[in-house]
Amino acid sequence: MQTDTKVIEEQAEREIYEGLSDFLNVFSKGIKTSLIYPPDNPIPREFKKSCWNKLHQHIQEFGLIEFEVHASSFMLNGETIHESRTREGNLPHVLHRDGIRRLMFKETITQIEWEQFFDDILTVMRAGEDYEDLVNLFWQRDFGSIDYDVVEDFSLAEIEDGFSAPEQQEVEYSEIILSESQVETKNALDALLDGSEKELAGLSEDDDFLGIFRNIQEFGPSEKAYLEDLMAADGELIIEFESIELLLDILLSEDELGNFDESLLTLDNMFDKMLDSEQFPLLVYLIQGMKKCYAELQKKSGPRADKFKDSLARVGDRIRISRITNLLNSSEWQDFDGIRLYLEELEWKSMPSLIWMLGELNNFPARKMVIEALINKGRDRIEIIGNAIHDSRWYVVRNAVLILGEIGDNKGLSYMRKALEHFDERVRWEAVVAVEKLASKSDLKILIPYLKDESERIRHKVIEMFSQNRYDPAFEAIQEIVKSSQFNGMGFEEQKNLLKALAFTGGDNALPVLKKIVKKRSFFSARASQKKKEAAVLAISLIETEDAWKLIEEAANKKKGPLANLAQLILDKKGRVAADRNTEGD
Amino acid sequence: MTQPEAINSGVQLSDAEKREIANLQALGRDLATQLYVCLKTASFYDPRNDNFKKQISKFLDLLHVATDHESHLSITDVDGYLFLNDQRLKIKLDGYLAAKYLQSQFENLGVAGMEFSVKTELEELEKAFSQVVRSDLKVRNAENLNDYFRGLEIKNIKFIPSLTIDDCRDDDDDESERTSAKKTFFQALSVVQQVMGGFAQQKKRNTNFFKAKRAIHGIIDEIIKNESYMLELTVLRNYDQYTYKHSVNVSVFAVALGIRLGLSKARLAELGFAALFHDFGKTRIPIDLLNKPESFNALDWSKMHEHPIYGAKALAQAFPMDSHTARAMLVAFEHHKNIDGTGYPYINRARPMNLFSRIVSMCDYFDAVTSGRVYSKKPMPLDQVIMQMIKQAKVKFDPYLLKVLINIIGIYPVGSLLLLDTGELALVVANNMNDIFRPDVRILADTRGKKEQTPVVQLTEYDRENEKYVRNVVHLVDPEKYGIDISEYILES
Ligand SMILES: [Fe+2]
Ligand SMILES: [Fe+2]
Repeated sequence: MQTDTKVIEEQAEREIYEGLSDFLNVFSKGIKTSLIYPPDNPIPREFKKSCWNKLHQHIQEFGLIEFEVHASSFMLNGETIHESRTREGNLPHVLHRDGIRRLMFKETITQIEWEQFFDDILTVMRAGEDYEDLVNLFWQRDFGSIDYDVVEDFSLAEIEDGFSAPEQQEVEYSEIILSESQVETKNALDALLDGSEKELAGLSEDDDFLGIFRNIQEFGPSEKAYLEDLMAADGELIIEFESIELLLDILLSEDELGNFDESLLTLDNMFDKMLDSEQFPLLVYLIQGMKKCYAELQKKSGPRADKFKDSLARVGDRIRISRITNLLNSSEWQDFDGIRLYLEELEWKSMPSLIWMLGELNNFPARKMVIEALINKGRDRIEIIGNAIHDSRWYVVRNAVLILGEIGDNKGLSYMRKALEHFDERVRWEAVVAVEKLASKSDLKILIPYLKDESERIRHKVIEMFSQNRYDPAFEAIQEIVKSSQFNGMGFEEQKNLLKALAFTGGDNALPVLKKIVKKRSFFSARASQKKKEAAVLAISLIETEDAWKLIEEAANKKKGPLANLAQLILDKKGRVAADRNTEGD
Repeated sequence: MTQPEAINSGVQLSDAEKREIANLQALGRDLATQLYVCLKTASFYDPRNDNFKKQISKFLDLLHVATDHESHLSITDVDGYLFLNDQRLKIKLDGYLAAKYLQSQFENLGVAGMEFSVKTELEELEKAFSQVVRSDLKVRNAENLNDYFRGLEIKNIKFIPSLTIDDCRDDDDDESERTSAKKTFFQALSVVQQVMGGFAQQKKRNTNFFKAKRAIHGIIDEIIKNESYMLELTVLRNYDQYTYKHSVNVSVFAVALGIRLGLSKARLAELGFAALFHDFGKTRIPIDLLNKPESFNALDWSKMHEHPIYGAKALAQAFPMDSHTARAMLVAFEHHKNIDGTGYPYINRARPMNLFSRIVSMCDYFDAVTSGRVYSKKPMPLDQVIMQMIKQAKVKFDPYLLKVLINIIGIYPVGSLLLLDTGELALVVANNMNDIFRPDVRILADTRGKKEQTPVVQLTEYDRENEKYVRNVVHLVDPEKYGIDISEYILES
């Protein structure tokens, strides 16, 4: 009988251990997974919830959870219930490192508390070990149902030694009492609070102000309101901004050069620390403040402005830009808006660094962000971005082309000739797209050679652009292609587009060639030839001159066939028939 | 940018939920305040008194509003926090006295709190309140008091037992709270010493920064638990490193003030941190100058005047940039400025003095003059200190904040020596929140001379039969004048 109970007890204990171990594994996995995603991603949220379910279920079944925290494991009664050997996302390690040695979740724990706990651990892991302290975060949370023990490295005795022993003096207390009892005067404070203001020479006229203290233990409504307002106003400050302002104010006021240098050093130091901890909004504020400060210093004589200028230039130097680059490459999610604002604050001198950065970044959202920054920054300095056209890395060139296109300044066009000659198709493609944005009609000339580009999409794009712009200088070149033998070898789509472009750029001048196509007899590949003819008829219809319509009518009057039908359809559609048919077909 | 106070909880409450919590909070504060008023009135008036009856019925009204939601309503003290059922009340300035009074009453009664049923009647309340303050039960605890109430046929009001089952809890509890206060205080002292003593050897990990924050958290928790034990520790003057001791003192005063104002925990932590490092700039001032026994000459002063600016800079270099460091920089820079814009350092800056700087500059002045360092080489008699501060309240200090500070330190600050009308000489050991003119004192001597036993008595002790206070203050006595070292009595149990 006794052994039976023992077996049952052991079994129950086993269940607790296993349940706990199960929960901790889910927890640890949840943390590791969450680290990969941005904080607002739904996946971490899901994990937080599933961990909560496990925890809640376990607590409901077995009561509170309590275990010891070791360097790489959690233990309960000498038994390991969770172990982590990896360096990344090692849960026991993170708790242990900050001195936590025991952890307890009480029965009263709520989901809110659990999620806060979970978030704090994530915060610390994300921040790396330099910037957050778990115990401090937990304290701010004020958990009611999560308890923990923290080790201390402090000895009371050490401090007690600093106190000297009280001086043992022979004091005649009875004499003190006697002599003090003779003193008749009311003490000064009583006099003040009584309102007998004689004691306060020079202040007595100001009744309002003394009134505050007369009723010392009561706070009237206006007094409370004053204090509330004071606190509310303070709550609205962004205190980090205030401290930045302060440092700049100090720097501006520094009379002694040595002190000025020291302030500048402090500023640099603060800058680097904020960069280390990725506080981009603060950095942006700091840079803006530094610019104003520089403007002030320029009004003064002496070496201060020059020294400051160097500091300001360092904001966007290669060293700091590489740090941001490394940061962006280290993880997929970042404060892109903050970093973009930072980059936009930089002086134009740093733009080459940014272009360099563009070449180093290895993920798309980051590149996109830098491009956006450069688009915003580059408006006034087209030439700096233009110079990147000579970069040896094709992707840098492509991005420069893209940025010039996005800026949309016609000056950017002068860099496109070079870009269009680039060996890499992707660069040429981007250049064609950019030309479309930058070029006026007359500038389209530079694209003519690319009617023959080896890349189909480039050819297509160029043809398309010439069509849309009815760019007649391209007519000769297009006609040459259509007449050439290679035209027959092209796919139908391209043929169609070329014929269309021919019509748009040539007008009546295109008619002889198109007519020839329509009339040409072919014995081979009848179907392909038929389609080509149809395309030619369509192209003719785009010319919309009397000569052109004549040709269409001719084709419509020919013996019945698909070509005649098409011609008739075009005639019907093009206002040569009743208006109500206009909406039909197509 | 998020505001310093906004801690990302990841869980959002709906507006309706927030409103309900806010209402419940306000109601809870009103109830606690009214309970305090009732208990207080009961201790002064006869149960037949009209005012007493009026207050009781007001309490009952509030109780009825509150019990709309629940069948029972309890007000309990858990580790220095007041709870209404299971919701913690966030006490603000005007509710502070009431809260602290209730906590001390509960403690005197040996209970954690009181519970009222929805069925509570006026008569019961009258009986309960007037009996509670009078009952002369030998051993006061919830069990005995509930028995006593049953005898009086009070059915709907109950006492909630304290978590400590210990019967002779008083002394032991006091003792452990004192030890805990001392430990916390000394730990902060040790941290300041490490940080200010050797901030050049900052390790890679921001250990010092974290340690300092933890020390402040300890101070905050401790002051919430028992303010007077912490204030008592500020009076110890015989520490060999004045600046460090002074830093912790100022931090303790500032946090106590912040708590009265009702600052959130996050902001209290920033305040305490900023106060702790307000003199960070003194790390650059040669120790010989700091400890110079003679008065300062002009050159000495100009050196001293550099410490606010140097402090702001040094803090920016020593710590990571966050709201704590930013606060500390501002306070370090501004703590010798006056609210009218005068004071030092004199630089061109169009910013009003920050709230935290206003608080710290007052606490700094108070601690500096009472310890007799820097400003004058002898401590200023305590009755002069507060008067001096009030005098300067238009120019130097924010008068409203000063009023709050005076309510914390009392008219007779801890460490004051008082002559009583009983012919006794007494040392102030704790301010009485409810009557700052009548602190708790330790009787050191009477006309026959020094006492062997030095009992602590409350000057609020009232002689009902003769309708007068048992002891009254005649005036302050300057211990310096007679060479009395009060530190031997501090923290004596
Ligand atoms: Fe100072
Ligand atoms: Fe100070």
